[in-house]
Amino acid sequence: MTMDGPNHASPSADAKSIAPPLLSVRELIKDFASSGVFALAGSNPIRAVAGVSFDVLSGETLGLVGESGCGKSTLTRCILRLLTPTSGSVSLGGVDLAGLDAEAMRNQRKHLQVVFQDPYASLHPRMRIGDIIAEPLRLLNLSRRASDDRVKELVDLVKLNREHLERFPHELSGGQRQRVGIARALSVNPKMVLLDEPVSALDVSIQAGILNLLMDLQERLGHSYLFVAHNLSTVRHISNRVAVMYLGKIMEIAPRDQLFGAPRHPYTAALLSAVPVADPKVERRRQRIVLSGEIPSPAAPPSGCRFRTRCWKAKEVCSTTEPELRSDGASTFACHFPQAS
Amino acid sequence: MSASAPLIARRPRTKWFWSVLPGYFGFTIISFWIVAALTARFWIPYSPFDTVGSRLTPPSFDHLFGTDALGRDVFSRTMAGALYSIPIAFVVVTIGAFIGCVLGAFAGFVGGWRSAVVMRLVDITLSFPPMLLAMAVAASFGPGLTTAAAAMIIVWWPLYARLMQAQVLSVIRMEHVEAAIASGVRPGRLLLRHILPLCWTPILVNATMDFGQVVLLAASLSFIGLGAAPPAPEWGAMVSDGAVNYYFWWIAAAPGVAILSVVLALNFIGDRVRDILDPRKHQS
Repeated sequence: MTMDGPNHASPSADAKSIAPPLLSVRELIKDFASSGVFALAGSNPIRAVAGVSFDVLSGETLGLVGESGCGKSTLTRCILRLLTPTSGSVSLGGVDLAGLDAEAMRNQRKHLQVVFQDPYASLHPRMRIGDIIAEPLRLLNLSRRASDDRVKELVDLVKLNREHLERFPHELSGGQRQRVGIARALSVNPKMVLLDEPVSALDVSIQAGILNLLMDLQERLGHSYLFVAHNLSTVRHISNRVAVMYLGKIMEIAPRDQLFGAPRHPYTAALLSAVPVADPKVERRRQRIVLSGEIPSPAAPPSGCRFRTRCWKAKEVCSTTEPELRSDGASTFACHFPQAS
Repeated sequence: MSASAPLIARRPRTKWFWSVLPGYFGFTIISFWIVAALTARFWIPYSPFDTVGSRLTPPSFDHLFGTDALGRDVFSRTMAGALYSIPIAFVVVTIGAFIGCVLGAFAGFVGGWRSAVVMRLVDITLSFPPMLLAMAVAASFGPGLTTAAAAMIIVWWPLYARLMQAQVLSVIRMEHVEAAIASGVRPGRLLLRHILPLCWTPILVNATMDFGQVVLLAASLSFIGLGAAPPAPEWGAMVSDGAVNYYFWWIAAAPGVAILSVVLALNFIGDRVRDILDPRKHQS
């Protein structure tokens, strides 16, 4: 898999200051009440997403990385309104999705689509591929004929064969199924596409093809991506900017080269140092930051900085004061003792 | 290991034979009874309702299964009886499953207090022993085959409602349903096209299994006089006649064996249907 960067132009800095963001998430919080026989009255809810804010600009790709259980999937489900956020706002093109009723939300779905992680589970096992791709098109009230034409167009777009339209999902390979998922998401020409780990369930040999297809489609159609992943190499390949999440909060957001070249948050630095290098000589000499311990429970996050229990730089102040997100140069990070830029 | 040894051991052919035999056996018997229900009136030797010989004669060539206390031919009555038991079971299972599935799917899909109302109704109905409830309902409606069927439907639908509700709740959490919601599919279509098509397997298996139970319950209701009215050659009622004249074993024997064969055959078929539809079975 080649890992050279996106060859499409990244949105320039001045465009950022003029154009309003396409997707704007503000102070999003999602609590899950702890339940079950042993839940005590008044016990802490699990705060899966603990106040997340970020913007996605028109035509850009924002990568969102974090380890398992950090709230990435909950965040995407809140944006899609598959879950109702506890508080906070999600605005898409100026419309606040979090406050919409079911019917109004359905009308907005033509602007906001999703590709799920598991191409085996996310396609209806008893529906033909053609019908699966056509499903979101019902939002547009197209005629039968126009819908059929659109489906054929989409199949060409994602480089599937038209013969596949009559098949069932179990007759396709993993990569082909994920192409079906992509065709379904793009069928209504959305402005914003959420990619919830779209390649992590696929063979490595197929991942590059799907990633390049996604980037190619973005270049042609101009939509934005929120690319959620835990694989840093794929994020680096596709993103313009990258956000790093830990235990329900964003630790650092920076342009891709900035984040990968000079990470400011210790957690980002630790994540990056875990990526192996393909050159054995370099790999052997490389200094790695090994984090001790497990990710703490989101029901009882550490006081102050959430990362302090695993951070080698943690001092007294980290346990008393939670660091705010602050900008320094191109990076925005939440740390009292950032890495040197 | 020698080069010619097969890498994957095959299941012995004989084992396979024994695993499918009961299914075919059951299918044969049920086919026989269905044919009998449809055509018996054309080939039975005597009228099932009339006195055609002397009373209480043991089995002979004239009367294969003997005659009963009123001199009616037991063989003719047993064959004609298929036209009562089998359609009743079919009607009860079909209507019961239909009502149960509609209410169960509704409860599973909408959730909240509307689901609670349906499910508590299910719990209340299921808290009675089925035989007792069927008897009470049939008795309050007055005896007769139609009221017995209605009583059995009232006893039977909650099982399907509970099954369907559980199915819908498990399918609704599947990722492709989430994907459909994210695609903007409307609730009605979501239920009909994305959820229900994946819910039928356990319903179908249960319905096949229940068939036999309903035959048995219908016969039981007739046995205690709450089902078919006296002249009708219903199997349960015939066993009841035989129980009164218990020195003359042949009166109850033929309808009793008929009930046994139908219930057994339907259970065999139910097992086989479950094996075929259960995906876990194929992986072994």
